[in-house]
Amino acid sequence: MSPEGPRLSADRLLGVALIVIAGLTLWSAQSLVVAFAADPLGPKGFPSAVATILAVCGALLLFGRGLPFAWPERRAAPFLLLVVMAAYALLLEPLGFLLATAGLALGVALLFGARLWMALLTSAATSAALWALFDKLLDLPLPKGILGA
Amino acid sequence: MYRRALLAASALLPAAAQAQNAGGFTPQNPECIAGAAPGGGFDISCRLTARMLNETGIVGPSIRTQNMPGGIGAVAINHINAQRRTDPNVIVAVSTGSWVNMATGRFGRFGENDVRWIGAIGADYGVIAVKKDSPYATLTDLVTALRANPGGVPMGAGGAVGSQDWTKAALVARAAGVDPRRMRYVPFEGGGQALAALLGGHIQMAPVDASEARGQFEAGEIRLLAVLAAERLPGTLSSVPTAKEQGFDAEWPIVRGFYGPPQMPDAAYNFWVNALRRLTAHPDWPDQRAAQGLFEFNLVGAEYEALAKRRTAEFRQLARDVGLVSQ
Amino acid sequence: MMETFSALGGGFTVALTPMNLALAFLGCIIGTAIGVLPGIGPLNAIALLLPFCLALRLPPESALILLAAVYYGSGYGGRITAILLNMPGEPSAVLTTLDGHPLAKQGRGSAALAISGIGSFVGATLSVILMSFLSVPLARIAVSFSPADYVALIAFALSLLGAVGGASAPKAWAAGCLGILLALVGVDSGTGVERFTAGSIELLGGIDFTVLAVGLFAIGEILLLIETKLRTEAAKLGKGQRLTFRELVFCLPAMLRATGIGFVIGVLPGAGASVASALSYTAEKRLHESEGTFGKGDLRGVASPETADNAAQIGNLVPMLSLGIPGSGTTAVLLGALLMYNITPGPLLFTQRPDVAWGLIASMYIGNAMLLLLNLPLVGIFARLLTVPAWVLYPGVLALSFAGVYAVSNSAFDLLMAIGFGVMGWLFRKLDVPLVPIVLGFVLGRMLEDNLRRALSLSDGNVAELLVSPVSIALWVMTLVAVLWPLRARLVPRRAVAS
Repeated sequence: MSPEGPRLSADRLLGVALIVIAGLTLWSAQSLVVAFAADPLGPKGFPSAVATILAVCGALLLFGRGLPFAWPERRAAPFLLLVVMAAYALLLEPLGFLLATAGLALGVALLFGARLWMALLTSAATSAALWALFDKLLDLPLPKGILGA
Repeated sequence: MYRRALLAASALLPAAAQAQNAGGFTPQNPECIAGAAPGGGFDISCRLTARMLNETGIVGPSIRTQNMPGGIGAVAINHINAQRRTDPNVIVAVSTGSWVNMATGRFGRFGENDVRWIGAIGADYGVIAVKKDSPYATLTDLVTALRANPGGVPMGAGGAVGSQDWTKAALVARAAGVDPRRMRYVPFEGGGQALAALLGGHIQMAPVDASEARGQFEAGEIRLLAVLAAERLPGTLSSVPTAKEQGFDAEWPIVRGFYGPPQMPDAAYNFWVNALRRLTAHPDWPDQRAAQGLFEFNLVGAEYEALAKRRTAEFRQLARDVGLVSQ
Repeated sequence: MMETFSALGGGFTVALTPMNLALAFLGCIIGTAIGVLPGIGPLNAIALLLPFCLALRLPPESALILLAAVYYGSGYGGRITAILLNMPGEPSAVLTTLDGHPLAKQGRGSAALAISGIGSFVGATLSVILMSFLSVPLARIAVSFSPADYVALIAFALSLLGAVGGASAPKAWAAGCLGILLALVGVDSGTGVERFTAGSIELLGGIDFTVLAVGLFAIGEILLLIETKLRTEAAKLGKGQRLTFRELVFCLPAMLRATGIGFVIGVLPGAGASVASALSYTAEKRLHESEGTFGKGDLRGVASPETADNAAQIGNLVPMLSLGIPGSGTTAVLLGALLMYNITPGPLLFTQRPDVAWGLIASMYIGNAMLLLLNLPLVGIFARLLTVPAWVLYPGVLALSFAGVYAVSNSAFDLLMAIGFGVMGWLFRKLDVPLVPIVLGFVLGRMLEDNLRRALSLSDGNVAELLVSPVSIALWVMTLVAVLWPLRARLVPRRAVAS
């Protein structure tokens, strides 16, 4: 048991985050305006109670020692993946499903260490297969984007 | 084989149908937007109506349904107003539930003046259901009880306070001269669960829809004290009196129909109005409408627009009266 | 009794026609596939198939046989990705990840798939038998379950949350609370006010379960995998032993218990398969607490939730068929399908249209047998999924998840929200915060609040009335025991040390 001071630990950060979320919830719940009391409890009671429990859990984590804070071993990859996914969400409608999905699959495949030409091949196939499945087979229209104009 | 031949023959019809439509407008890749996920009420409206419009040849090009769930049509109306204000090829499924949300400002900035009302395809009606052994035999009995003690009749239906389900209860309370705020309304997850609670004796009255209550009614499990329609409903439900017959002015059709974008060109608007008019006059339509759980309610174009605007105004007034929206 | 047999016999003459057999088979395949697809659930699939049934002019009993097969078939599909990839395809398969994925990592993925398939079959078939004979009385009992009883039931389910928490109790409870709060976003059903939407139109209708699950499980898992470049985490096909007969016998009692729990919960109109699988898993885990094998790859931990899931699905059909009351969104759409054929669902269905009612029930015996025969040989093929290179598999899984979310919502906002939950899932995995309580909180939280407020509204705010019915008293006692039991275990050794 090595003595440890109140230094930055991942668990303590989590504790703080939970308390902040609980605080925001309580604040948001208190600001609800109800036209008339349709039921004895109202819309505030239950979320307030849950948020209070959440805050207590957060406080308990503050007191524990917890896990040390650690960076991922491949720091760039998860963040690049997030960028690829966010780009997909934003470009899906303007670019259309086929192009955007191929781009997403290509990006993810490369991040998983695929060779470029193999990744190109599989991402094109993935995109086309999903288009056929959703748009054609299930009859759920997907955006055509620049290909359909 | 015979059927297939018929289908093939009907596929040839569109050309003739369009010629008849005149106005020079033919939709291109038409779409029906459903403000619900596949399986929701709007989704069924879109898919079945679209299929029927195509099958009868009233609309030639195949109509595809696009799902846009959220806020009983709130997401859909925002999408239309933000991105497709002039699109001639899109119609959006709408119901009385959407009117209620328009009136309470739940559709964001958009309301009944931000769309072009095309037409209704049918309606369901609110009914006042009690259990078979209930002490209330008529609407008058229920109203008397409500007047004596507004909180003494626990009631429940499938929607939140301020939803179209709640409105049915509120209208009955109002007709009884009782403040809707004082009635004991318990929201359930869908009309089915409200009926279960009625059968289980947890609530004493359920203002549900006629199509939901029909099975229980025919089996004698529940009694229907009133139907909130202008006239009695057909079929087995014809034995149920209207609220009006019993001296209470409470009418609540749940109208299902379609609207178009706010700046839909006139040629396109007229095409779609005409399409719904011909659909509702088609000999196969009554069966198809019944399949959606709807009763006859044919109203298109300007008359439908007038109804939509009148209903939203009425509900806005009710919402103001009980404080659901600020003055 | 004899009447039931002859009626069931009549049902089999309907279900055994070549067309209805083929339709049941088709429904089973579609259902399994739907269970695997992350975005699309049985409710969506049935709605999409309805127009086809009408266009093909299928008679009502045939249409219902097809649609119902999609419904119960989906219960067989959700487990596949849950076990192999730690990504549940259906809400009720979330619990299956807890022991299923560790098994897959140990190279016993095919054994886990096999036992879950058998469990699904046992749960479904026993439930169909119960349904054939006890439908009407059961449905009558089910509707007598009051809002106060539901409160007690959900409180009991939540009290078992600690059992799926893993190491840290505060983290498990915090996760559960977060799940509950997420479920409360949107229009409040009691008063109609908007809660926690930050003025967003997209959040009015609440957060979709699919969005949460895709984020937490699929995206979160992939973020974690990409960080370590798959060296440690991913499951391998391995040379793990297949399921042995002894293991099957070993799991049988768990399956029987799960069938009981699942069916009873399923029959209640206000609960569903997610509640059933959660209750069943946690109860089973509590039962074998001392063995310490649950959560590390115990076959019973796979058999239990999967059996309960399928039993509850069948149970859900009981109030729908015998009372005409849909217990879930999916059964409501099935009811709608009946309506489309001008058949009034309700108490008279069995007398007016025995061909439809009994034909459907008979077809479920056949369909579940088909699903077992379909699924067991495929176990090996499913398990081969793990031999697909990561750079093909994970881009595909991610694209499929996004396409599924988008196809039913047409909302880029939902995609962004899923990515947000993905970051949450990723960080929580790294911080040892369990994800399953989030999902359980999400599913149970709204139910708890709604029923609590219903109950209080009906009792006029009198809390004591929550405790009047025998059912709720029994459930509250069980809740107390469940909460206190782990504390007792902690106290005893301490006292021993003190003395």
